[in-house]
Amino acid sequence: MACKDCSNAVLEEARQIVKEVGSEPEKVIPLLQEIQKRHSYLPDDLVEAVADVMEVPASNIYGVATFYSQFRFTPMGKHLIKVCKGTACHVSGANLLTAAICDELDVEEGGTTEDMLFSLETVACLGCCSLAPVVMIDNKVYGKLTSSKVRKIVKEYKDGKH
Amino acid sequence: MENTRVFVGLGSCGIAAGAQDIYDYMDQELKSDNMDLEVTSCVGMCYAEPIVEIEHNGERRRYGYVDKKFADELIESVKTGEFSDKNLIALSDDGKKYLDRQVKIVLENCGIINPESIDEYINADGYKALAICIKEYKPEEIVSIVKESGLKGRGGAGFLTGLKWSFLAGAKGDYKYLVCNADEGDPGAFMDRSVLEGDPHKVIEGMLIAAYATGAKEGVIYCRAEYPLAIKRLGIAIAAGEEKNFIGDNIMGSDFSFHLHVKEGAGAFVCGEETALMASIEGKRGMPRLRPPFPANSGINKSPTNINNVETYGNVPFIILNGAGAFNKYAFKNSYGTKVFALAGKIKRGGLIEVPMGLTIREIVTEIGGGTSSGHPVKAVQMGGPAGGCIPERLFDTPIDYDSINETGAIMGSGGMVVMDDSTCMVDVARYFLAFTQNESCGKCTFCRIGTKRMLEILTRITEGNGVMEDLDKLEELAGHISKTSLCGLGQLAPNPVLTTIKYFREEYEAHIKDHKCPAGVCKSLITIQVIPDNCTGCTLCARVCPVGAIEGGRKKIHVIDPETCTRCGLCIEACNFNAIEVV
Amino acid sequence: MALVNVKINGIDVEIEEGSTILQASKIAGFEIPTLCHAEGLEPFTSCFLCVVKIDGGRGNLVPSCATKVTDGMSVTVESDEIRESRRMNLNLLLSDHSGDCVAPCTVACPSSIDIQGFLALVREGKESEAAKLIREKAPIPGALGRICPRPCETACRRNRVEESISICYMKRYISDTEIKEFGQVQLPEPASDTNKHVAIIGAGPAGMTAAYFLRLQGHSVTVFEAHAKSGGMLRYGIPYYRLTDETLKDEFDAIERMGVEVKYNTVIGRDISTKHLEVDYDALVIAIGAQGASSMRVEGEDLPGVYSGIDYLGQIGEDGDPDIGKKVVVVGGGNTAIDVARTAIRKGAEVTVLYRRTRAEMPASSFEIDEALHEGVKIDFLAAPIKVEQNGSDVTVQAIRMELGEPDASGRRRPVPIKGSEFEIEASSIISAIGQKVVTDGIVDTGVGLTRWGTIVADPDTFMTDRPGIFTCGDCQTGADIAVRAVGNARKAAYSVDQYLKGEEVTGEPVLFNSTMGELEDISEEVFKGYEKKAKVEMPLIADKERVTTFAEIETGFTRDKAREEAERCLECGCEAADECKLRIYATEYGADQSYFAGDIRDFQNDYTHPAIKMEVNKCINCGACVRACAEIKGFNVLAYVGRGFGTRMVAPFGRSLVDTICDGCGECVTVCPTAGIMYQKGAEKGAENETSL
Repeated sequence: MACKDCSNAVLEEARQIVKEVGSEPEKVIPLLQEIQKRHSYLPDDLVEAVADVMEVPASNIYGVATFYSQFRFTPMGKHLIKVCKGTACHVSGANLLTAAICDELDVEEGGTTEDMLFSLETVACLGCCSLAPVVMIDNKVYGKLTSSKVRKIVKEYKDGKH
Repeated sequence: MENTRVFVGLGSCGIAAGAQDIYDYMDQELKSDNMDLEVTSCVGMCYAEPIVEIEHNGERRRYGYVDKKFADELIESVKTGEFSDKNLIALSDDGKKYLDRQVKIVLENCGIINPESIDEYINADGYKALAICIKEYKPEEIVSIVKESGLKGRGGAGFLTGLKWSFLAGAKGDYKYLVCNADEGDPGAFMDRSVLEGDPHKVIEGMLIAAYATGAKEGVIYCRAEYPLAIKRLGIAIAAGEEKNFIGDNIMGSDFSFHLHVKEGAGAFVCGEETALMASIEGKRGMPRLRPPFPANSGINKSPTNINNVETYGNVPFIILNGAGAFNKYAFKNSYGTKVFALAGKIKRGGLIEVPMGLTIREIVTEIGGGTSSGHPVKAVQMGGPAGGCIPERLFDTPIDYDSINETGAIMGSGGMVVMDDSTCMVDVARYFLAFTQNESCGKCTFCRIGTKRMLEILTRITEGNGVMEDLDKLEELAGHISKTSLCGLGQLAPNPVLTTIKYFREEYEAHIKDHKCPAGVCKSLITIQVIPDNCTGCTLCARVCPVGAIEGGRKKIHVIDPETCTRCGLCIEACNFNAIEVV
Repeated sequence: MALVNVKINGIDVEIEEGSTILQASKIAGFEIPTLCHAEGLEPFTSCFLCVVKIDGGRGNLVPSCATKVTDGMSVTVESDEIRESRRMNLNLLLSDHSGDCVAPCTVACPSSIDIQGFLALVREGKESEAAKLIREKAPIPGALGRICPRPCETACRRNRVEESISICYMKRYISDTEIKEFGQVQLPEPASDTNKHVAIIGAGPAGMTAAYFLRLQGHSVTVFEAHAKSGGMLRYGIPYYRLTDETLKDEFDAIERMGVEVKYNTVIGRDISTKHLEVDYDALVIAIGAQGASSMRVEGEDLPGVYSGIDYLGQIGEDGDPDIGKKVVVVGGGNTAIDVARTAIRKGAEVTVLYRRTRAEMPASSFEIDEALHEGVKIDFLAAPIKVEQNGSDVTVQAIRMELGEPDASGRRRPVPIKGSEFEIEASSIISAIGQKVVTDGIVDTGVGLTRWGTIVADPDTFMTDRPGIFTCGDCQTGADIAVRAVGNARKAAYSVDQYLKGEEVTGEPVLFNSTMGELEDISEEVFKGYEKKAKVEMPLIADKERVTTFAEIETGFTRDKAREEAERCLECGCEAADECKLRIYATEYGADQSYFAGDIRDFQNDYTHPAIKMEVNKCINCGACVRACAEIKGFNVLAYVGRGFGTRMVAPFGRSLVDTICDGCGECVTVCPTAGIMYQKGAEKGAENETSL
């Protein structure tokens, strides 16, 4: 099926991405990862355009994209906060951190702040269990946190200090 | 400054503890003296991060708990050549206890060498095992050695590695795949991450030997995307390996060729299951399929495939270099060698440990780990993550071996060991794992998709004080069906956390159901948070942190929490500096 | 290809290598249930209903649709363990299956009439087809369509939009239309004679319904009736202004026309003994009703001027009605009390009903009460008689005021007399209508067991009494109840009698599994949001003046246009796939329980956008057959597996509606769907244009 609603610019980007990553069927996940790297989320039309260029059904790619928790279909905030919900963090009060962040930023779990500055997610385990509870902001991990510490850190991001 | 080298441990957890800041700071200060800092990874003593090691005249000193002030002292030492004995964590009593019982085979280089330098690995006898294999052994001889060593799959299932290799070696097909499962998804486990970050070449070498032994042509390391540092270091290591002709065509001048690349996972726990992992590698939804056919006959792109986990491959170079006997001398019942554990939770000394088979849980928790971090009595350890179970303190004399752990109802798993004290609610823990599994179910099979959902609903009901005693029967009934009738391990083992907690902590379930009490004070619906008037100084801090405005009382007044408004989030307890808020 | 030998539940099977256990089992004669496996598609193994156990294996259960046989393999495909696993599996699937197999109106109907079906036929102008459809369950739609208290309408989902469909009147419309068109009731042809003889005692709605269904099976049926006419309480307990002699004749005579013999004026125990019946007939059905009046248990009950409601109504039917005078007190709150009151109004009396509770607790149909009030009946709530005294030709009723106390066993609040609130009413007569009892004198010789309430003991499923070969139905088994229940139970009893006569095990009418969306008030508002509000069509009535002076039928019936307009309002709650749905068939077979694991259900938007295909995602069981059929058979890939875990669904990608995809409505997905997750839109079936109209 042709991507009837895709603009030329989108198709062009799709071609470029496929050229860069590859068009073999096993490249579906890397392709989606590349799209998300560029846009912070998966825009419907670009996913469809990539399917078109690859000549695979868009429904397959969409099915793959919705299976993996890494992929999202709405734009993300500038900073991505991941609260670790691993076992060690759970028993060390990860819920308190989530509560504090939600309160500090007025955002819900899985949501993005209105100013598009922060998205908040919880993740299964960041593998930093000995520093539980931990939070990862963008690519930086913060360990041995308390709710007041995490509030302070989040405020720093708010103030553009990172 | 002559003969002095400075190493900073830059594993993910070290970085999280501030090691990068220490590195940057010391680098800045020592640059002027033309000294380059060196990088190493996690040495396993995560409790003492950030860690800095200084080598002077061939003698290495490992300093822990390094903050900026202590870093200044260390910089001074480097400059003067006079070293203090402060925070020498490997030599302290604590450190000795932590290290003495450990045997490091897989972790031997972790935290010692620079993982981004292939030369350092080669200097540590790296790729020697591969060279021996290519020069001295026929492929089937390697399979025999690995069989003889008794090495079992360290991913959890405990299948004999040599036997598995023999399946691939014997499989029909020109193009065979070898996969390293680094999709470490168990919450509370970080063995694979640490190994890949700390010694990627060892895993790669293990894969190369396996490829040589089985005739595999292509290798894939499937690593979860949450481990960016591991992925980065694997990339560096593969490139360096290719450059040195350890990877690629005609390896070391032989006619053995093997290509290797990293595949980033995209966030699906179920992809730790072999068939789901292969589906994911093929670019599909990670849904497990029925076995047979087994991967050895029909795996990636229907070609023969062997899958082992990171730690399994990490054991291989040692076995080849030192012989099967050097490995299986660490033996207990039917388990051989060592096992790496991520020791975490309410533990005094948490970190990455490697212990010989046969050590007891108690030895790990009390001797290596030093007991609970809180000083409260230890209650249980959780082993095996969402597929495992909770082992109560009274069974702590259980030795570490596959059979003994299975007898408790838990599983060895990949090595997550989370310690719990009396502030951990076991019903909440069961609910936590079920919520995890439920969220990670691929959604294919009825029993897993809906069954775990219903189990979670029942557990939630119990933690909210709305359970009835029949719910326990229903949980056990459902658990039986789910484990007996699920396609993959995720479903089959999902009930374990529930079954073990019901088995060992039934009275806690009953307290929730009959008395509407959570003995550990965790389940929000069953607790009340209140101010202890005698301790309250009226500082107003709690009232300020309360997100719902449930706390009243002005300056110098004893505060009161309105139980109707209070959401029991616990932020006030954490904020209070006077121990004036309690859970009842 | 090489052959292998396997054992299926001990039966040796030789089969081609590479075959599945499912295929081998078929050869061995075992039909293994499966939902996700469809012919022509690769096995998917998602439903896990087809599980079996490999003997000597790990002890787990494996899906037979995908597990291949190996030589020497021994498999157990039927056992208690496997049955239990399948039952639990179905319990789980059903706990997340949101929909009604059968519309709630039909579920509520004690006769299980296919209401949705007959409304659809009315919309299509097929009234005589509709009449036929109703008679599959109940042979007297004309009578029921006039007097039924309509439990169906209480359950009607349309109540959540504005008000229920006028179901009851539609039955009447259908029956009247048929008779208008053909001059008489159209009857199905009975099966050829079985040479079995059944005796039925009582020609009321229960007895005659049982006669109808037994005759249809080809049995010879004789009904013994004490009165001079058939109809039972419909004739002798319901006034003509509600149900005319004409309607009764139309429907009850029709049953005689089928070859059912009715011996009138024949009293069992007086004219003929039950022993005699037992010897002369192959089976006996007791349907004697509950024709005795309950006592008020007050002093003076035996005085002249004190009547019982059913006797009074019965005598009206026999044209010899007693003189009740001009000021009548009726006691009671049920339909009989209201019927008595409205009859008395028509006889020119001033009527006061004494009822010991309030209107809210009144068991009479609400609209009947409204009509009574409208016609001038006075109802004195919270009052009860305590004594009746003679006062010349009149009576003095001593009564007392009541108040409501704690709820009693029936759930209604118990009336408690208020001390010192006694009062007197002067009346020409007092008619008590506080309940009925079964008069068992005539059949006591059969030796059938009686309950402590004096009703006849019967198995609730088979309606066989504790004496084999003797069955019972109607009020004599349930106690005084509504006619539509007597009809339904009579049909079920007839089913059992037929089994008995054929020498089969008497199990009663099969009960199919029924999925339900839940109680009317529990269903989410979302479900009803899309419907436009449209008021119920009103039943036209004769003029008030005419009403209170004659016994003419008050309600005049729907016109064709009005009836179709009303039929259009039906929400069609029942599932179109109810007859072929595999989930339902297996749920019935394995005795699944939808409420066993009650919990969250997936709540997705149904997709009705496409002209040919509709998707009711909440009925989907995630077998994925549609996705695979569209991809593998059609090559279109319209549908995707979306999401993960409990929320996984099979829908068009990117949140699109089906109409916005390239779907051409080929229906490959519909063919493989084991439930009703994907169906054709009405009239869009493959080759629908070729189907002849019925």
